[in-house]
Amino acid sequence: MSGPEPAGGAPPRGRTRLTRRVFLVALAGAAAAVGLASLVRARVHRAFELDASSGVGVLADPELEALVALGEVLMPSRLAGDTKARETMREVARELARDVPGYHLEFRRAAALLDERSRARHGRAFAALPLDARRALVDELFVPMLRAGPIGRRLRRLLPSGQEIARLWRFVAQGLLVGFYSSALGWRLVGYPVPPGSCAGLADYQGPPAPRAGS
Amino acid sequence: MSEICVIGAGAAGCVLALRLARRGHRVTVIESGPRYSDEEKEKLFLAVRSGRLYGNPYRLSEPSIERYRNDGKVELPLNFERSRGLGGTTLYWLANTPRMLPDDFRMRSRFGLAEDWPISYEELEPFYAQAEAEIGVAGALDNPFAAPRSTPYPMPPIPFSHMDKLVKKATDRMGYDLHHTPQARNSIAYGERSQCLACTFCQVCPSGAKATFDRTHALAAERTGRARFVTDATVLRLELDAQGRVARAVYAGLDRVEHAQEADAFVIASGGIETPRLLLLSASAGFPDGLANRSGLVGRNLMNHPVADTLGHFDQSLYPFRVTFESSESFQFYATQTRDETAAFLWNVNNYGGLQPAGFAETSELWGDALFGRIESEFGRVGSLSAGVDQLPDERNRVSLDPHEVDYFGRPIPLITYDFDEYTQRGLENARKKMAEILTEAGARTTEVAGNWWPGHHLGTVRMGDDAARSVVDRNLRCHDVPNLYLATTGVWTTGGCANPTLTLSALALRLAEHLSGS
Repeated sequence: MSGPEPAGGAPPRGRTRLTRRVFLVALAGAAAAVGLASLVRARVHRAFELDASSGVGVLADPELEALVALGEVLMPSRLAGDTKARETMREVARELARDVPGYHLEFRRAAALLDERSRARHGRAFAALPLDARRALVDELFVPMLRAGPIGRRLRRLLPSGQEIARLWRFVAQGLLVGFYSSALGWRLVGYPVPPGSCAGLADYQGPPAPRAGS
Repeated sequence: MSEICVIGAGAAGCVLALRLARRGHRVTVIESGPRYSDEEKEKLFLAVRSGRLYGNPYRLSEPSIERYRNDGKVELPLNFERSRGLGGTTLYWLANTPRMLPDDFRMRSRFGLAEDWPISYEELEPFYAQAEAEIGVAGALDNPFAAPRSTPYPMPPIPFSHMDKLVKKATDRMGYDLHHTPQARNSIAYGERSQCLACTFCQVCPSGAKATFDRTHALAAERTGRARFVTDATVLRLELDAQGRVARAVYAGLDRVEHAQEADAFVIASGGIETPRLLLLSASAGFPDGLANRSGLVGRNLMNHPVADTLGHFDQSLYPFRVTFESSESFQFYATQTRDETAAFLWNVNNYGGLQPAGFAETSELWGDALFGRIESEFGRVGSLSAGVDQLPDERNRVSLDPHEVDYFGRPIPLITYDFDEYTQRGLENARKKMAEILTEAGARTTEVAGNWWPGHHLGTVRMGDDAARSVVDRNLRCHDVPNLYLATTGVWTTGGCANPTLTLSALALRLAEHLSGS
């Protein structure tokens, strides 16, 4: 039929998305379970969103490098040290900060958090750490939170440090990953020489993607 | 020649403007949305392509103008596909343009259901042909169930996709027909527009290959010097003269200053929701229940084409997401002889399915090699079929005026009361069953029922008929109760059929233009 999307204004082409509404509905259920509904709702409602009022901006080089260093941990290991992959991640971070209100502030906070943890442990900025050390630090940040289960995770968010890590995961790590896998390089990794939206012509989609020179 | 005022610059309004202007009438079209420039459309394309803009991007800056509320069992998401602006919903549509079947016009006499349309397919056929030529339709004569045609398609078909070919092998083995989707999308250069470049995001087509009626009709209408489009102007009500004829359309922009447009004849072409709403908002002493509503049927019999989706999980990649348009469909279960028992359906192959790579990143809690491993093993392996199902008219399904909420201009917003009955439910179940069988035959390991959804096909709310007590407009789309008021909208559908409605609406608009021109 005519609709390229499922009902209800959901994202196009089968892609799901964590919307604010879905997040708040899930949260409400958990909060009621621990009897802290009103407190949690008020706190998280205020806190767990991108702060669009903070606007857009240009990231400073050290901040950008911290995000690229994080991005390198998030991408497949076969791309470690790959200049194109690092440049793609840099572009994703730069564009989000420049174009989407709220990301600039979120990324600056993330870079500061990563550097703070890195200096405390290794005495160096996060971007200056070898890849293995960055991976270990990222695991320390994310694994306990993600393993905590839905209720435990929400309880962690009541603490400032829990909030910081949850935001680092949701808005920064996932933001970078979504941008990376939406990029031309991300699509090339899954066998598409050109990404959707490239106006590849009517011959292109009739069979498996054809390899292209330079891809 | 006369002065004609058209309310709404969607598909019907633009078709009417061009044909009426070419016949020598002076035409004023009043549209509540804006005129989108090529530059604005390009910006929307880039925003959608980057993933930063989801859903229908053609939305008004003042959202309350298009606000609505549901109070029925099923919520119709009206603005999911509906768009205001020069070109209306054709700005956003996917541009499928199948013709309806002859049986759709005679459901009473063929199957004992509902009522027959007052016109036949045969009467409408010449206008279908004209509409296809004006819009630019690509298609193939490979549908054995299609209605008879007097002309070939203006363009060869949009080719089958990789997924279509996989499904077609299965349907061939099963003895089912899968054929090319007729669509208003250029398979070759046509009508001063380029060949489709397969840019994926058809809802904001950047090449102009998809027919949007601001380009296919409105520009040409303006070039005649006899048609003008007043955009960002919402018609608030119609006012009558002492003889019971519409004298003027009163409209306003965002400054809320009222203006009046007078004309010899008025056509409301504002879709299946806003057309009855405007009639209801135009109640007067002579029409206390709403203009042209002596039948009491204005707003009633709201129909849609409920869509069932079925997914199949395959072991190999199907290479989805390279285009959004639908390149194949099947009338196999639409042109059936059992429509007295169960609703017919029109099914199609989707060129998308499952999550995009970024979707895995967004919905999983993985990163690094673990995430990529999951993407590598799962991406592209979901096939998707959809079926749009027939629905019969039911007076309980309706558009009325909300007693509580008002829009920017202080007018009650539309209140939607909608559900579907056992007849349609059986059709949906049948469609899911058939689609699961087809996906399994095509090689799916497992199949999965996805939820229903409702396209922007809002039908039946100002139905057409010969009996003034049982319909709102006559066979020429003239209101039974008001001699110079016509309705050109999908609301005039007497019964729904399964076909996407825009081509039929365009044919009806052309027929109306000829009627108004006395030919």
